[in-house]
Amino acid sequence: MVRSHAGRGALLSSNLPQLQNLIKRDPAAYKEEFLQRWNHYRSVLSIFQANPVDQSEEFREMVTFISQVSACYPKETASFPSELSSLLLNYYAELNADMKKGLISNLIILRKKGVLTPVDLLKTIFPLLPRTSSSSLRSFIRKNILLEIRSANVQRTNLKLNRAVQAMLFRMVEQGADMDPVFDKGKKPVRSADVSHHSGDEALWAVFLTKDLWKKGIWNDAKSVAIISLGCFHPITKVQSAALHFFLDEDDDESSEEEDEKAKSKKVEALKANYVALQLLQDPQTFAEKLFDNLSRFDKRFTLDHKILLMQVMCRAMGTHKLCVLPFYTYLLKYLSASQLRIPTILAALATSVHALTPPDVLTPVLRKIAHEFVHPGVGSEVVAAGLNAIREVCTRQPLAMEEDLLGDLVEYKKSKDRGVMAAARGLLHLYRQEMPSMLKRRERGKEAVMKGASIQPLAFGQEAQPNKAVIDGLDVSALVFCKFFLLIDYLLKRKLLEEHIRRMKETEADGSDTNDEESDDEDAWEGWEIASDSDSSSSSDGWIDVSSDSENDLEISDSEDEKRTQEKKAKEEESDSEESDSKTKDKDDTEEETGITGKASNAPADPSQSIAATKILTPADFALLNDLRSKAESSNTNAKKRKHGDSSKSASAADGETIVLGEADILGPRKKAKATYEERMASVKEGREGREKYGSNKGKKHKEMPSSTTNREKKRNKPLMMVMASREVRGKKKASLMEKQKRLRKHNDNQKKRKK
Amino acid sequence: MSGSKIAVSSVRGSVKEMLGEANGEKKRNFVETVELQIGLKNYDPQRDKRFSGTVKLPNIPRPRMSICILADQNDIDRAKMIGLEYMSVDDLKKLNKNKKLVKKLAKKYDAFLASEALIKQIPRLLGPGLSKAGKFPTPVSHGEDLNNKLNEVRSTIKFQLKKVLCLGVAVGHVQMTEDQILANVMLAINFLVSLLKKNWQNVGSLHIKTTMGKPIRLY
Repeated sequence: MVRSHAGRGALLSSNLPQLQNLIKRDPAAYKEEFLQRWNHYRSVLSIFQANPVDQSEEFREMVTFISQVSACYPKETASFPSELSSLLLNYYAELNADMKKGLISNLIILRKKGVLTPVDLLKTIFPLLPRTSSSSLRSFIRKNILLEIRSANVQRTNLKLNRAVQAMLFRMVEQGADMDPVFDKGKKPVRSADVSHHSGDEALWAVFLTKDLWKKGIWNDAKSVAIISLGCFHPITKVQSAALHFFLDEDDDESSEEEDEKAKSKKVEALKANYVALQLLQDPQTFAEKLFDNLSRFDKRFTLDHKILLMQVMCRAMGTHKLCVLPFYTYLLKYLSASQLRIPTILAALATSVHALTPPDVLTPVLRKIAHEFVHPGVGSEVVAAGLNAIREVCTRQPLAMEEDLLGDLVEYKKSKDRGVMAAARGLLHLYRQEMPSMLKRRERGKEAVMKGASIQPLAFGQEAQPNKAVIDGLDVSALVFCKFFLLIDYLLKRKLLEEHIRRMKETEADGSDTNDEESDDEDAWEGWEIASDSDSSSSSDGWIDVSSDSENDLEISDSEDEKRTQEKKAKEEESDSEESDSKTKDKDDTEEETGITGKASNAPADPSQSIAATKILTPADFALLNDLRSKAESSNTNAKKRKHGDSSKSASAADGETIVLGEADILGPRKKAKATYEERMASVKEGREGREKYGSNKGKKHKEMPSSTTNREKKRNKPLMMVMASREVRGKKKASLMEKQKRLRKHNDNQKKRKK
Repeated sequence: MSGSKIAVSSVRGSVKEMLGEANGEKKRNFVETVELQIGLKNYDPQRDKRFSGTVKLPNIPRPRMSICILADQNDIDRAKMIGLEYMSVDDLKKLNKNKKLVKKLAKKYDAFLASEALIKQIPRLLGPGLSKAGKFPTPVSHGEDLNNKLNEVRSTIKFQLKKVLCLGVAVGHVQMTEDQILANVMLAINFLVSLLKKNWQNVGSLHIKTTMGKPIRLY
């Protein structure tokens, strides 16, 4: 021990890592050495502060050393973290790249050792983000910030940290809010000072960071949405568009670069995320109004893309929250022309913004304008289709906006030769056949509407969708198709049994024919069906259910009837046994009760569906049955099944107020395969060329061992006969006179003789 | 599986028990309301669609609901006849779209009616205040009887899911008979369940309670 002590000063003064190692093992013993180092550090630090240009390697090593061991001497090094951060914040511009990175990673080390709180760390390194010019260092900082917040939230959400960080970000975005606006387009206003620019950058980073955290699912609360929604009104356009993109949720560059493993699944996730964010908006009405204010005030200054971005976000907010920003529709009028760039997107945004509570009278001029600009013979068929589709989408959401004469004109396009136009016009026609047939001419109304006659009453403005009629949608339907009810039940029963219990077929047929048979209690495997049908069918016959004591039994069995029937059979047999005894005791009581209600309900003139719903609790099996029935009724009501199916599902979901994100594709409609651009064509040509030999003759090159071109002799031999026949040489021979022929023959003979010799 | 059943007779029992308590030893100095409280499950209000729906109950659950009609001249006369509170277009214009005043108006009444001619102008006249409060007026035409319409509005209840997974609706009051309450409860439950995407699989719990009473679990 003594021996080592003698030498150690000399040894350790030069070897920091070793000292570090020793200190970690036994802090108390090496305190002296540490203090020596610490004093050295202090003096270097003061020199550095006086003259920040001088940045030695040694100083960096020393800082690293102290941050490594500072956890061992908390008392002595209490001021160390704050010194580092002030160094970074105050001298950031003067520090060289290595120094910056070194200091930042030392801070992170301190954080990991628990010397520094996460909030302090973020407070130091976050302001550095906008001030860093090197992209690698920036991404390093960004990654570490994300990592820090994520690890804090790993086990459960760290409310304290989140709140602190969110407050910080909120302040950053808020700071610049009162600046003069800065635009991308046109002449730039003279920047009063660099400060304003700086705060814009900070806001941008704050928005980015929040977006990152949202995307990773670390933050999903209203506060983070509030930060971004504040960013939507930031005077600097860049910040605005970053914030707006968050609500539209178009996947940005960085995310796709970082993790392209599951791009597809992320996309799906993303569509929902956008909806969530809109739902979490604090005060949607004010949000939308302010967006519109921005839009109309700086109409001349924003680029078109930015304006469309604003419109899209505003319209989605309006659609989701059923808001009315009435001046928007007048503002929009000027953009509605066929030659407007990106018009499909604008139309889609318009349609998104409309909902059941949008006043029809503000929409009517919009529809008129669309019809006027898009739907006339002077423009291309795709323009007409887009116009019609846009009108249809608006009218799906607010059918009252349409005028009768305009509708009449538009519907005429159903005879168009162009498929897209025809489909769009038919869609519109179909919509009004369902919603308000009275708007159509008599011959356009269609079979269904005429048969129903006056029963289709258009909803008045502000009226909720059929509050009375659709007590329970399925029951409603069932009331309509009572006559078919019996047959359907019968059919269903049979089918189920055929599928699942083939071996019981015979019994099925026997029982299936008379569904009223109540003696089949022992066949509990399908008793659920039996009774469900039983009660309903009896209600169809005399307008009232005679459920009697069966109600309990019914519930039990139909609850569990789904798949595991056979497995649970035994258990249920016991159950039903006990219940039977139970229900017998209650029997009297129950019947009394039921009849009591019966009397009351039959006094009321309520429709049968309502009385069923008021006295019997519908079981899962009943709901399944009702769903089945409803789909059956729907498909049997229409003769054009396939089209109806798509349309009805779409309109139904729109009526539900679900936020369907309309895209350009919905407005453009189904089109013929679009013509490829030059680049696309060239790309496909290049693709085809890959892996094939070059075109052109390869005569004479294929079969030779040494590739070479053909010889004159080969060419002559292979020359086409017709060409040879027409050549001067051959023709000359034919036309030669007798004397010439004799001359040639003589010459030939002489030559032959000479050869023989 | 075993706890997931709900039977008419057990509901009846619960209603009886509740009424017995409310009208018996713990009778209050006002008419208590009977409330149905619903807890949902397997439902994320942030991701799934927030449903809303209205249903007309067979018996009026809240007879003392205060209603105001936003009326044109004809309807004003009719409202005067039956002593219904009304507001004319001029009254509405006086609010001047002032958010606070509109909010105050929305707070003052439980529901609104509006003449058919007027209702399209409501968003213009009042701004978003009423729909924000979920009290957008119900249209009434000149042909309809106002009293009937009032009863209809009074007996209509609205299910609206907000940010949390539970909701409550008034389905009656303690002076109603057992049968009336039972019918209302049943209809409300059935309607609610039909609104849910997975029907009974989304229902976590059902309770009924009177304003001051204990909640009684139905499901």
